[in-house]
Amino acid sequence: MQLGELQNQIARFERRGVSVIALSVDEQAASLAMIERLGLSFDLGSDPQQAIVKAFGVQNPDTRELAIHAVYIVAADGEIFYRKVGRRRPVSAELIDAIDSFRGVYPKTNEQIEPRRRINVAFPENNFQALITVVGITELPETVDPIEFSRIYSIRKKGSLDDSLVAFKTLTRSSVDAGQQDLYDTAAWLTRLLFFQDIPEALEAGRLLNRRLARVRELEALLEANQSSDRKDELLHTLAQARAGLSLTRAEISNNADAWNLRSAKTTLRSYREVAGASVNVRAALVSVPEDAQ
Amino acid sequence: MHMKELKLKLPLACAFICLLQISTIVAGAEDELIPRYKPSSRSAQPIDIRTNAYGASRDAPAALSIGERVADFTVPRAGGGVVSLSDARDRGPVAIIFYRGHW
Repeated sequence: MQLGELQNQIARFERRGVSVIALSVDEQAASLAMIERLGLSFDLGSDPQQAIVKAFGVQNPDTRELAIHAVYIVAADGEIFYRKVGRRRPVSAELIDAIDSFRGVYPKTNEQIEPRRRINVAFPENNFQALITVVGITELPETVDPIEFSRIYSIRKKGSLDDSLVAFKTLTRSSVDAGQQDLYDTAAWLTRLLFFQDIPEALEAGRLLNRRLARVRELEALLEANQSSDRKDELLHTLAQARAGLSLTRAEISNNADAWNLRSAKTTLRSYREVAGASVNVRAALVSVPEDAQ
Repeated sequence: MHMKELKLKLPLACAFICLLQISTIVAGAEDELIPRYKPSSRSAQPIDIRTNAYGASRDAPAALSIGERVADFTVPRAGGGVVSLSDARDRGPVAIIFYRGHW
């Protein structure tokens, strides 16, 4: 269940008088960032000690800090009539079917389905952005402990992304001198080491993409400023050439996307950035709590 | 058995058989109205989503099952206040989602 997709169809739940509660081990400050990004209108509950997770028996066997992805629907008397634990995540339509079937009105054919809504995708949105970001970082920020960093690196090398994310969260908490940008840079450096250490041609393509993109933007700005000058035709010509070069580099990167594992790199970078962003929010929230309230 | 009685019973028996057949057809039709989905992308067949088998996970053998009652809970709500299952149940069914989150 993607929460953004659920939000998109929330009116169908409301029409049926069905409430939605989403639970995670997140601190509230971290959840707030997501509520804002996805525009969520249903309740997000925080279960950091996993009391509810344990009561439902949905702890993650690999990473005890987390729950398995699970969806339950209970009737008004608290009795479960639908569950989906782990494996393929259900979409809203399936939950609606389960609810209608429970009420004996399945299938409901005359209901309007909400159109797809574009959701703000977290950075990086695509392979190109990910590659450019990764290429832009050439060392670990000084504010971050290199020993702790190499521990995360080896956890991820051995396997679990989730485990390494937990370790990264610990690092973002303990590196108190590192600001948001430092933590984002750490995420990028980590992704670079994990994915591109042995693929210099990917890094080279990323650098070229960055240069050509900058050139196109520069020429576009120049053209904008010279709309009525006699340099206009010459600029148009140069811009066309620059755009052609940019397309070539993009094509080369797209053709190598599988070989360079770009999709996975993009997702990894995004996950680490989200942890970094959330940690900064949590820190800010902790700082803003007066001492006598703790 | 008198002939007259048989004459009376035969149509009744026919009607009964017809009714049986109709009910089978109706049951067959109901069978089509079961929501079915594939439990995972590798599943061969879509199955009835109202069964425990559908939503079971090898990773969570002790997960609560269909038909069991969920204990009420109250947890802190993002944005302030609390989220309470019993409050939500007062308004009708409740979907409870466990998601990974960002930490």
